Amino acid sequence: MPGLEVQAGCTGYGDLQVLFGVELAIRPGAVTAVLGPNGAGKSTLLNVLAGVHPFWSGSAWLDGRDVTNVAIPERVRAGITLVPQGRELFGPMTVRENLELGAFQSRLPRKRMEERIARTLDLFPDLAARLEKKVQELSGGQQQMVAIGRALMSAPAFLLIDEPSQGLGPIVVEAVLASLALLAREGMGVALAEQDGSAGLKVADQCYVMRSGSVIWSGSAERAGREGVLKELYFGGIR
Amino acid sequence: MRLARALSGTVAALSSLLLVADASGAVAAGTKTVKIGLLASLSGYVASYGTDERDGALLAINEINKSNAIPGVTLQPIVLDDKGDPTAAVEAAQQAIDQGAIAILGPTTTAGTAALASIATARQVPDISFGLLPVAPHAKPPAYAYSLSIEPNDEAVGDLDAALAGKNVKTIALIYDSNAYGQSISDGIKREAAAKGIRTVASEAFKSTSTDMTPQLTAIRSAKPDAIIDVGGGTTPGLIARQMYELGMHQKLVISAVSFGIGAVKFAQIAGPNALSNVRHTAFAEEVWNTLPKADPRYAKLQAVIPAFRKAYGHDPNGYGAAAAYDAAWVLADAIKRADSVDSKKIQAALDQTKYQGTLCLAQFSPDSHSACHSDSLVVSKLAGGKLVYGD
Amino acid sequence: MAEVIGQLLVTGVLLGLMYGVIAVCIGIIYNATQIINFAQGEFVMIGGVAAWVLITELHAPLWLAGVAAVAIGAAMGLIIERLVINTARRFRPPLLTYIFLTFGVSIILSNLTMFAFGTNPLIFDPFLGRAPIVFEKISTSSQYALLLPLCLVLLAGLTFFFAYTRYGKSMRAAAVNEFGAKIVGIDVGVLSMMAFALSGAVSALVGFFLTPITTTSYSIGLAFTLKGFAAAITGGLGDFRGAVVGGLIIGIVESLGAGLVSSQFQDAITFLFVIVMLVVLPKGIFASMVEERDRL
Repeated sequence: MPGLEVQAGCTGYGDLQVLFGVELAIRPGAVTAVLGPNGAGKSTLLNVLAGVHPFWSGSAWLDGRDVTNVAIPERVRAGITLVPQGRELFGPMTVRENLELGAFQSRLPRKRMEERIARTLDLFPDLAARLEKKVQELSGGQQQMVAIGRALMSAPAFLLIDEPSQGLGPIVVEAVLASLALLAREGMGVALAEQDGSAGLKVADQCYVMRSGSVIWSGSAERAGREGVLKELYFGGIR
Repeated sequence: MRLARALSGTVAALSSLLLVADASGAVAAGTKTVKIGLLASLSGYVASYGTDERDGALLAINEINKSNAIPGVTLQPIVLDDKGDPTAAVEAAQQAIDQGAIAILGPTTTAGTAALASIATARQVPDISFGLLPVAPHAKPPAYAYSLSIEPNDEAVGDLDAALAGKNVKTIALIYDSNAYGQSISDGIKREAAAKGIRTVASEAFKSTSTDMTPQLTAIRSAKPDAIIDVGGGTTPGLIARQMYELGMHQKLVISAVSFGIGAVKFAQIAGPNALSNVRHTAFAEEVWNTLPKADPRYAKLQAVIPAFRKAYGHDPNGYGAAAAYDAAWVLADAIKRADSVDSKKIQAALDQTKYQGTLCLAQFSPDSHSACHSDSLVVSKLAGGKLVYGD
Repeated sequence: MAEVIGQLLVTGVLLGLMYGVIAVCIGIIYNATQIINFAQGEFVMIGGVAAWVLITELHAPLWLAGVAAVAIGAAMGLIIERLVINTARRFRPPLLTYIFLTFGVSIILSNLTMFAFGTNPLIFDPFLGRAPIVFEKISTSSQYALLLPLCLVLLAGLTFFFAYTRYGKSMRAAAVNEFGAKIVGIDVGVLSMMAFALSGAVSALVGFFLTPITTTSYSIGLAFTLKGFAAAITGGLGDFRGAVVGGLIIGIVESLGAGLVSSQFQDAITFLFVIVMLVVLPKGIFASMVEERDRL
């Protein structure tokens, strides 16, 4: 079955173990929400999938191929791209340069680069007029669009996005999440890590709930909403 | 087992041999080996002088030992690198004395000579330095009781420089290396010039490692001196001559003694052919050894020493350093012979009575003067056909 | 007086441009690796020595000597990066260790050159002959004057590289945000190699042009490192525009200081000026740029 999967994923920092045997699957054409409180291990999980942080044990599979030990540049070429927490943009560089660098591994000729930038701008028309502006001069919402746009420039099959709503107003959050849903509809596999699950759940198809480095609940987003999973999670219920 | 016994037997035999050798060394009739420290800048910014000095001294020591110049005594040099640095020179001297050196030749730099003075005095080991004695105008006991210098001092160098420049000139400018040597010599030149009624209209310093003297020369150019005197070594004289030419300065450039540490050929190469005609050099006899007048007392010696140096090392000396160090070793041998002792104190007493005709100058020490070379140690030279030749 | 100042300014600007190029080279490595390369001046030395070997010993044409200097500078940069810096990385030492390592490399290179080529200065003929270039009462050697187009071309080339090429942009990106660069698939190890090779090549080319003016020998490297470093911190480490301006300031201060104040304290004046600059503008002349970078 095509998808990006983690099997028995364990990792940590120094002596501190953060993930304890996580099992997770991200399917193409769907938004997969990874929800949980601060410190549950959501960011670490996405980082391990993106190759930014190594596994202690366990494995990662991309469409049936073992990618556990594949370095970041090759992972990006294979179609896995991360939009990290805090966005990690190139502030003093222009929006255009940030987008171009997103396609670093694609080695595009000028014309195809322009086409890809144009496609990204279709999704975030707000950026079109600001292409030559320095990223650090943009608003938080626009910067988040650049971050997602930069990741899309590598034409990923799987987009891993970590806390996109952090520091943004509710209207902007809505717009960002809507764009993710749109991407999923076009066939991309989107993994969305969120602390505040209520907004994310609206656009999600699948849902995983994490706490203390383990997945404690998984199922369809619809079921999660119906069964009040989040309420129980945040007020302590689910075993 | 058998092997071990054989080995221990060999060791025993060897040690007894050594004992015999040592015992015979103590007998006055046999040859006694005494150690002397040989300090020179084998690395660092003056390494081109230092290596020459080492080679010159080793050549002399070899001759001394072969000809049995000191009856019954063989000199064994301990060669150490002073790195062109006073601290390293002190460490090297300590090391040499700790290993039993009865006298020290070197170090290369004037700063190193000053740094060594207190050790030489404290340990009562004479030091014949290749640098200047830094106390103006002459170093005297007690601080420098055991420090002597083979190098022509500010009086010896300054005298001729000023006289040469003064032939047709009323004003001079000085451009000098800011190190201890350059300051000492340029002070001497200023004094001698003043005594001769010549005005010093500009005085500019540069660092030994400088490569661009245009700012200093620009300042000198605006002072409009009749002649310019350069004190310094390494690449700087060549660079100054070249940059003067490039700045359109056509004054006579007198390059003070010592400055051709890298040799006239290299100087000419750095300066470039157009910059040579105004250049004069107050040279050591060694530098113009084959164009020296035959009447010169150094002529005959140099005809033997330079070819011997060439034979031993495969190249000509780079500068006067080889001759200075060569003389220093012979001056020491002369003193040991006259002292008829290898006791450091007695050697120092003999050194204080030195009058020895060397390749550099008539070396003279007295209890009042520890600088070997005096006025008329230097000769005038110019560049002809890329070579340094005797005459104005 | 005007002609004296004019002459000093000409010298200062030419010298300063060259310091600026070396400062940019220090900045390239700093931006890619956070390492201050105290062996930078040795590249200048090696470029000159390599060209000398080709011209004087092998009688090669000038252009070939220039190409060889650049190639050897780049190769030395690569070798140092792989052999020393990358090896050290495995032990994850503090940043200071790398800086000290480059200092060690500088001493080793200098000593190896001394063993191979001796202590004598090496020199070859100026490219355009020996006649000085004279303008009114200001004059300079033709070789010195060549530094102007050389430095301008080098700076223009580097500007183009960093503004428009894929790798140039990626180097800038890694400098402002290394993690950001990693996640888009930029291999920062490759950038480190490129930075050392590029800055080695550029510095070696400067050494090739400089040798007919100043001669080269095993011991000249440190002075260039120090002046380049002074220019780099005056302009703000890693800020290329600042590095060039910093270089010009250092060159002009050095020249005016030696010519008008006291030549004996030439370096003291220069470094005193650097200290004052650092106290007044601790982040360099274009401090605002650096602050902007810190915001993200």
